[in-house]
Amino acid sequence: MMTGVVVLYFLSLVFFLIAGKIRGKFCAVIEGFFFMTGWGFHGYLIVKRAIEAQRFPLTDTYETLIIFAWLVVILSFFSAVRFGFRWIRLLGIIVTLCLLTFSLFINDAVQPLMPALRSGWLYFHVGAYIIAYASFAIAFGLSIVFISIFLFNRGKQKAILDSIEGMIFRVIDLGFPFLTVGLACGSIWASLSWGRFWNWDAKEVWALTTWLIYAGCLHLRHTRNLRGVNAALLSLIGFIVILFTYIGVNLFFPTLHSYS
Amino acid sequence: MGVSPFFRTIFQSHLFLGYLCYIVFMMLYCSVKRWPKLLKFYSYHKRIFLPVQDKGAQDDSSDPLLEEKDVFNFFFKRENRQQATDSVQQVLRKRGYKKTAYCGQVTSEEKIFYEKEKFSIFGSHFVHLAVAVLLLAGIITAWGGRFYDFYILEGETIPLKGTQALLTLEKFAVIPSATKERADEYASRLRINRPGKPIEWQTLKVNSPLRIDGVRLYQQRFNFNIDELRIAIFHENKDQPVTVLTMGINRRVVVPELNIALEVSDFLPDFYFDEKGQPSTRSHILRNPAGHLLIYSPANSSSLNQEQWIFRGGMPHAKSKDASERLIYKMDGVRSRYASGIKYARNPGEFLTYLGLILLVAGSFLSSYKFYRGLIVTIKNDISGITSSVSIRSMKCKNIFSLEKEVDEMVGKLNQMMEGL
Repeated sequence: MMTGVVVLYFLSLVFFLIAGKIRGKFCAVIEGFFFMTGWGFHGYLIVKRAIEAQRFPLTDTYETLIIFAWLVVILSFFSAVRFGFRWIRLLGIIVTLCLLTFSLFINDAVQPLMPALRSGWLYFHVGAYIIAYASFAIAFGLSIVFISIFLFNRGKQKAILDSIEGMIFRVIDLGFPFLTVGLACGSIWASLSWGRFWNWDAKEVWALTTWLIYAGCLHLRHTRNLRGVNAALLSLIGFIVILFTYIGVNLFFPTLHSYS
Repeated sequence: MGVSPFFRTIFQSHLFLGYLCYIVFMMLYCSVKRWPKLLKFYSYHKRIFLPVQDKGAQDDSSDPLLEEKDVFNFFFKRENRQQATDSVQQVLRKRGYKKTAYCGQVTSEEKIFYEKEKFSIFGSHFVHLAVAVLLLAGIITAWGGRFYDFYILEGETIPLKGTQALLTLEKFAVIPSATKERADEYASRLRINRPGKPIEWQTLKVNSPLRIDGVRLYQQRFNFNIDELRIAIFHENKDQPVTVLTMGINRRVVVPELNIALEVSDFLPDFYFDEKGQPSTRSHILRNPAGHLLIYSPANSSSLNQEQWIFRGGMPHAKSKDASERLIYKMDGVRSRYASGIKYARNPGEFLTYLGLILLVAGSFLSSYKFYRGLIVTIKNDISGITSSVSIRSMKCKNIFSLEKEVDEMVGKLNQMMEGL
């Protein structure tokens, strides 16, 4: 079923590119159809998973991955409308395709929940992180576009670059408070479950690193007028660290978050 | 970047904590130093139209937010002045701007100051303060906190350190999951006895800690404690056991009538073969108990004659090499008690940590979602006395992108409304 969703998003991507190239209205309609159908089925799979597991699906990597991808689609759609820059949707589809393709290779069996995870804090903690990650994924896509334009049209497209830079920071602004909520909720939950707010666990240390990178990014923007390619590079680094925190930490380090 | 035990000790060393104290002190100092300036800026609207010598705030000019930029200029017929003023006011109010200062008609010039989302100027400083408070909480916790794990057996009573309470684990319960591979829930029923107070019974569960006289207890894990194993020995094809032994783990017991000695070296509560084919336990639930039995024959022999896993009710997996001694060993009973794994925590920095986290979240929302915007609207008559003009100057905003977008929309709307005036 998830493969079907990936195919629908892929077709949407293909027609998006064709519509962009030939500026055909028909292709845009077809692209919209595949996009909405893919998103609809994607949503259906999440609901199906929730019914199957009898809980909101936010407890393991597979579940968070499919919700992450679903949120990227929504956020990219609304960002495209808000900023009037339709290519954000394309970025959203590409990121979603990467995430969903990865989800095809990991264990998707519904696992019983361990007692520590039976807490309402789970939904605030993971939910907030996923919203933040989805925002930063879009900022990451925009940063790649920014750097590409910067490298290939050096100095010629200043207006577009300024505009994309503004978008990058707006999207980071959107995600950063959720990243903070995720960190704070995780800390409170750890204190309730493990008896300490901070355990120096590998996942916690990397999550703090992520927070510091984005906080530094916003801080430098407001105090040192961080602009241009440096801002885009910092956003890029931030998302790479996020990917490592999200997936890499579990592969390389023993962690209390091994179930995630 | 996983933190090794070596680094854990570094984080609690006096050197590290002293360094952290220095950082916290500097952060708090910078934060406190910054607040008067912020509060002054917060009341800037009261001084904005005062003559320079009355402002009493030379510092104002150094604030980067006070830089102004022309965003709108429009000329109209003098008799339409009221209409133009109303249009500007209407558009700005619709956008959420509030009139905070007004300078009356001095030399036929009116100046109005509009502001929006003013509280957001505190956002980044909340975050700054929050980081300092959290670090301070960390220092207090490291210096004054006490954390350790302990096990308490069912029926056991222990004194709770740092309090006068006596803690008794009356019962420990495990609810297995549907697949029975994991525990869905486990809880300790505790009796708390404090001198001069009535006895209390509390249930300690995962994710719901208990507070007893300033100490928090957390349900962490559980384990088995085998008090007694009963092993029945049968001759092959006989219904009645030759003998039934009562023994513990790692205790050698001699069976004189058979001239053998037995020892259980390992006990698995839920026996299964893992992926590598090794005996292991699937869970900590007493579902398929198995003991690893070592058999010494003759009884005083130091070398092992035979070893095998024995089960409750089942047949042994191995038989003696010697056909004349065909004995069958069976686990006849297990007397076990759960041991509840509890974390003891005395954290004097808890309140500060919560305060810091609240400030952190509030500050990050304020600084990311709200941006201070100030507009100065000037309406004046020109010298000829035929036309008037309205101009809008915006103060610098942290979110240039959104300000430009908003200004573009407002200017478009104003041009539309004031057309023909």
